[in-house]
Amino acid sequence: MNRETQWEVVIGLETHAQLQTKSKIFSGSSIAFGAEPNMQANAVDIALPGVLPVLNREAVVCAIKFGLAVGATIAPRSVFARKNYFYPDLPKGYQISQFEIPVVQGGGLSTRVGTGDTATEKFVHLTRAHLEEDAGKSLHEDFHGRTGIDLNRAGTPLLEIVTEPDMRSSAEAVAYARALHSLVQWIGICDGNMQEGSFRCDANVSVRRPGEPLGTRREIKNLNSFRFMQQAIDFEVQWQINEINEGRPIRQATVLFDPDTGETRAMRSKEDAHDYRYFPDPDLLPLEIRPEWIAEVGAGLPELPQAMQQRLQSEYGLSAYDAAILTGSRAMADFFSVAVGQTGAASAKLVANWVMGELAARLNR
Amino acid sequence: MSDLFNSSLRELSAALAAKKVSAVELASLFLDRIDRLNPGLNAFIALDRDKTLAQARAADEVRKIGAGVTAISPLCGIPLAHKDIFCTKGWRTSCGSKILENFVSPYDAHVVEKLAAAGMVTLGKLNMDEFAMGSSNETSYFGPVQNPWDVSRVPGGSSGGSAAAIAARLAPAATGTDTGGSIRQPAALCGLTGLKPTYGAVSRYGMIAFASSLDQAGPMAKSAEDCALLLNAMAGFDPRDSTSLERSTEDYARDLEQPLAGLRIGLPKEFFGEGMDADVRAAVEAALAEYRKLGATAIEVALPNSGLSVPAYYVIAPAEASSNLSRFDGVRYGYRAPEYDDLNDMYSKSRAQGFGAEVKRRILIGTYVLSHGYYDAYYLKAQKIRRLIAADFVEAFKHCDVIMGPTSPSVAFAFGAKSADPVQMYLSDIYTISTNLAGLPGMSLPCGFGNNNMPVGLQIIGNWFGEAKMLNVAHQYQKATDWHLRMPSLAGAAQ
Repeated sequence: MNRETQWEVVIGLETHAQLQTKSKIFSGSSIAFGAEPNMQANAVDIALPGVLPVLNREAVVCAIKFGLAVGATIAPRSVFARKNYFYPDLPKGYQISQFEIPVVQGGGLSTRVGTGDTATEKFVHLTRAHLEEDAGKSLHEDFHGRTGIDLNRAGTPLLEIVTEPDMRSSAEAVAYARALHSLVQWIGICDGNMQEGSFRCDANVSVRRPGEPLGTRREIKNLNSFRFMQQAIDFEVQWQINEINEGRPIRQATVLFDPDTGETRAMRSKEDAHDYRYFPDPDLLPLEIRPEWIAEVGAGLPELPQAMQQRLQSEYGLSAYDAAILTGSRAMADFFSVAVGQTGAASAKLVANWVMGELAARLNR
Repeated sequence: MSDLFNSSLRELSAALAAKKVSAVELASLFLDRIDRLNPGLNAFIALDRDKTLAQARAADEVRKIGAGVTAISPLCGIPLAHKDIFCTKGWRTSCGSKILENFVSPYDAHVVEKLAAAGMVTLGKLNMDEFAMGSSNETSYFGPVQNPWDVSRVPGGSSGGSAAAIAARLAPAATGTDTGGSIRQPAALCGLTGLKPTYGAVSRYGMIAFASSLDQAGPMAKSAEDCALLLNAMAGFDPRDSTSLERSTEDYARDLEQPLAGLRIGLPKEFFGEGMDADVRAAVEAALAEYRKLGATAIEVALPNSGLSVPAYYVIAPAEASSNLSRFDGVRYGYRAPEYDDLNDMYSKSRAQGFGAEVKRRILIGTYVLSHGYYDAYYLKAQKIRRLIAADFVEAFKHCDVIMGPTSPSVAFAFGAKSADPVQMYLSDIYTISTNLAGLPGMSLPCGFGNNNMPVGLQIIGNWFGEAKMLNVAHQYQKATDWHLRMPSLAGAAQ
């Protein structure tokens, strides 16, 4: 039995990109990584009685940059909302996020799936991207059976980027995640450091028989490497197919991937899902973004990877594949641009081959 | 010296400037009165003589060294007390709750900071309904406050400690906050003048949040003139509060002496219908007659949606409160239950033991109206009503300069009279709540006495940013009458 032809996999990704601002999204604390616990948490971050949030405009600039880079609509008016739940590393008892009206709406990202001549183009539509604050961390070791709380990360600005359920394989999901990872670094809004949690993905996965309505999805939380993403989705897809084949319907759930076993396991089911009681945060005015602000931010954006790929092909006669590789990261693209500026356009293909071959190989060593 | 306990802020300021009294002497005078009278009133719940006197000495220094060098605030050296909802550095800040019984604030609220910068001396922290939820001061964890006019009666709430302290002349002025009437109603019930500014005029930074979109701090004192001086020091843009309004500073006392000839007073027929006690009605109508003598004309206006203000308020305010009070979870500060099994048990027990019944009631209501499936029917509907109420005022102010009516439907009631029936208690604020929903400024001033010789308050509602006009209207009345100068016998007998 060939399962590949019987089942269609449907994947949507939610990515939390930590924004490269100097300070937190609603307070003046630094967001630098690695400080001693709670040394980067001020009165607002620890939610003392009476404190109030003030929006960091730099975080909004990052959202505008992203919206422009993915061809989305930048909402002229978006609203911050409170997502209410109790957790020890959530100091206010609610997270300030955006719910009904996000700052970035629509847009999409073109990705290349596969390598070489067999690579195919895949366009992934975005639903939205919204600004929100990160929570702190609960530390379960070193406290003799008790839990420590570190609120340095509480209030760190995040852009949550949500796709439509457009991806049909783990390869497509990884290709999209890689393209997004590259783009946020390209436009300078996120350092992309996955070990430190600056870029983390949740994958919503379901399976269905082609032509049928969407199946019930399970959400794999906190995937912090592309390899784990691939493994987690592949395992999850196979698990769901087996369940259905065994006559057990899929129940909506949140699951975690365990890299040691290569398996996903359920954290909580939908029955005990929270009612977050979202409502507009009365401490913050609606975020209004005027066209002049968008224009000003747009003027400061670098040439985007897509545009650069087109230019490399038309200006230097490079193949689409070469252009895609060279624009895989901002660093490589910059290096190529400087190098070809020195050697002249005539030797562009030679420079490209050297950068992609010799240089890349040595960098990987 | 001996009569300074009953002086206006302007008189105190003049006495300090003329060196007839020092800030230390003034502070001591009031601290001594507090020692004698507070045990019978329970208005103050935190006192620290050393801190107060240190601040007074600093104010004396400023007056001495700064004279002729820098501009000295007229308020420098005058004592006042803060409602315990304001975070006050180094002082216990409890918000009237067990859950913050041992919370000492590491920072000053914007209002506290501004009044301290003007040189005002903090006498102590004032009792209040727990988290400002109440209209009688009976919900305080620290016990009820007695009304100095009759200690068997409530002082009103939630700023009941502020009102009782000033009425008993334990402080010449105090801060208050008003979410649905919490400055105006206790001012009325204790024979004082209190002002709730336009939403956004005074920063909420450091003021413990009850309902963020309604809360506003304001002054409470004996007269409109005193309130104007205090508001000058309290108001102003604060970048730490995103709802603070970026407007140029104004002198709220600038129009105090304007004559009232030609003033158009709007009288909403909804404020003069059933529900108002006869004694209150008589005093309010006498005040309106006095205004006519001062050259004002009365015009009937309509606020057709004001009847919906109490139900809309009791959706919006608890909704916001249910979220605002989530931070009191026993994790980082405040009360934590001594014994618990696991995390959820710690939350449940800490909050069950730390909050009083009225606070729990409002958290439950708020949680309910925000819940999935109820949000549209309650919260969104209430927000729509709120816009209708504001639109009513916009229409009314096309025809009048200020709106007047009673502050409270009755004079101060006896302890326990309404505490068994929350809805009866909520109706105490029926005339004050609509201004909070609309974000308008409002004030209450004494206009006579009703049954059992208890004070009656006249409410003035101003247009948005109409504080100076409102204060002018109140001040001219106070020049023509002496209700605001009456003092409960308990206060005078203490001499």
